[in-house]
Amino acid sequence: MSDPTSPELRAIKNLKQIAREEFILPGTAICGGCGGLAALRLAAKVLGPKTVFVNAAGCFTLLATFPYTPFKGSWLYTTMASAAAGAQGVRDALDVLIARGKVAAADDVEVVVVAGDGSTYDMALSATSGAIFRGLDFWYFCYDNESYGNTGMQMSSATPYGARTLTTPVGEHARAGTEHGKKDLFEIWRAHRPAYLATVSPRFPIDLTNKFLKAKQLRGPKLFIAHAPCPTGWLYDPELTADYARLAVETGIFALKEAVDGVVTHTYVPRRHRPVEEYLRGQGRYRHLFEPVRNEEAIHKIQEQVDRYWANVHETTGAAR
Amino acid sequence: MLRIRFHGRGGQGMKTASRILGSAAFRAGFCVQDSPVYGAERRGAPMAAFTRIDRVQIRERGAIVRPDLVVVADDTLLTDPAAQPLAGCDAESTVLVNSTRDEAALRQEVPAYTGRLLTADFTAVALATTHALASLSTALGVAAACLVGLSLADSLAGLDDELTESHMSMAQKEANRQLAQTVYAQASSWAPVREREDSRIAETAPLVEVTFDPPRLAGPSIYAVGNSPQRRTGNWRQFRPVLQVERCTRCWICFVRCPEAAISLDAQEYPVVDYDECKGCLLCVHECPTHAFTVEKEVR
Repeated sequence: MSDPTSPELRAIKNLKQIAREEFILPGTAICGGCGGLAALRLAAKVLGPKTVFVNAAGCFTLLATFPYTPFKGSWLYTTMASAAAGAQGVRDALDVLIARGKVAAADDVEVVVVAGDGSTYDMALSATSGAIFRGLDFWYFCYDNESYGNTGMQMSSATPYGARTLTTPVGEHARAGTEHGKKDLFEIWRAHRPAYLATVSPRFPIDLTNKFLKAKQLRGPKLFIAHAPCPTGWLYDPELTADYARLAVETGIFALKEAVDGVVTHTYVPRRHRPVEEYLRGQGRYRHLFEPVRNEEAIHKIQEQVDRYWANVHETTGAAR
Repeated sequence: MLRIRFHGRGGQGMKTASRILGSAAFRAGFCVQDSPVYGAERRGAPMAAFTRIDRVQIRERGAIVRPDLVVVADDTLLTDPAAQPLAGCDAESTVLVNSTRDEAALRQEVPAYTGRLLTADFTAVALATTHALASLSTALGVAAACLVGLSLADSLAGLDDELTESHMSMAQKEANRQLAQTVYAQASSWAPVREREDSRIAETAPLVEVTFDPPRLAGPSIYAVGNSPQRRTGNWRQFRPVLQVERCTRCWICFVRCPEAAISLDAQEYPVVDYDECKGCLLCVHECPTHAFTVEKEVR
């Protein structure tokens, strides 16, 4: 936990207050135009050099591949289901070593889990639940590209309704592709009452930076779900990553919010939401909703889900439209 | 048996090119096998795919060691130690390189290679017809089909098999068929690849002797810090963003949004693209509010 009165932790107001120093260097084998990397890079600028990243298997396996690492700090690799357990081990070891005087308190580091949605939403749900329940002082950064991206875009429980994946192809009996709805991980995590919980988008760097600055002042589980547009898996040109990140927020599909001790605040509420179609159209994974025949029913269903979510937000917060 | 090896970078479609060739040969009545190298390949990272074609059932498996035809999607791979596209090539091999440079210029890079070397700028042809870089798979798959002596009809049938599976729009599929015909006509001027006399003799890759080392030596632990820039991912790039300084307002947007940390700011806060590392995603070009970046096709 950093000193909350420190001026470095004050919320920023413009882009030029973002740190110029890099903490995740270029040269990784991650795809060009990766939305997840864009978000992690900005997060790392707040986390600084004194970190140990505990990385669940996934796309970000490719960050540190022998003999190269992009990190200025340490990195530990775990199986998909056990990153939070790995974080517990690292945190406990550090605490013990500091208590015994073998590591100076000034050399303490932040323990940061980095995991994809396949790990986070599916396999590691239990280990993470345990770590949050125990009040572990750690960070959790989930880069959510809504599929098992590293293995070629198979459906995960983060895949949204209507997206085509390798394991949910479009057919006569599944005209929408994925028929399931996306698991609401934010609410599952929130039910644990972690110290801090937030969603972030690489296209909203000030919002992202301020959320990490805020969390830095808290002790306990600090959990982040980062929207991670994926040109390789979602099938669009890499240059459009920031566009789709923006459209996800502006259509209301991806809500920017945080929860401190379980109390939810939406940190960005668009005055008027754009139609979801603007986000869906153009992504190859949704092409079947528009070609060769428009699937009105599916598009309507997605719009309806978004409208219902925000109607509920406005109702419970009393926020004016 | 004919053995064809494709080398490309993730996203250039060489896995698909290998499938197009395989499907075309299958349509022509041959026994076929095709497989890409699966690993940690990513958009831009070197990858390979293998196609075997024979009149009888193919029992050979695995990587192709001594290829009859090698198709290289990108001439920067020729000297890439991770890709080694010319490994196992000899005087009887044919190497087809997608490049803007001529044969003499390419031979200077690979002086040890003595076989046939063909070159053409398929990227330009693909972009002119389909406006999509991914259609390089169609161009090189069909060029390979032509080079191994398959007919235009079979090549188009093989292409159609692959297009059916793809997520492309109808217009894009048609553009790819157009491209196939153009490329086939172009490749017809080259003499077809001949089967080797001893082609049925199974290939054997030398076995790697595995020695036992203590975990500290044998484990893939990294003791360095921040050394990834040494990998130089700049050679993944197909197009390069170039800053036109006079249009730049120093707004920081490209610096903040570059996923790679490949853009830094100089003392006057002008962005500086690190071309050793920039993967060419062109996000900066698309995001710049004053259109201060122009795009140049990489010519190496």
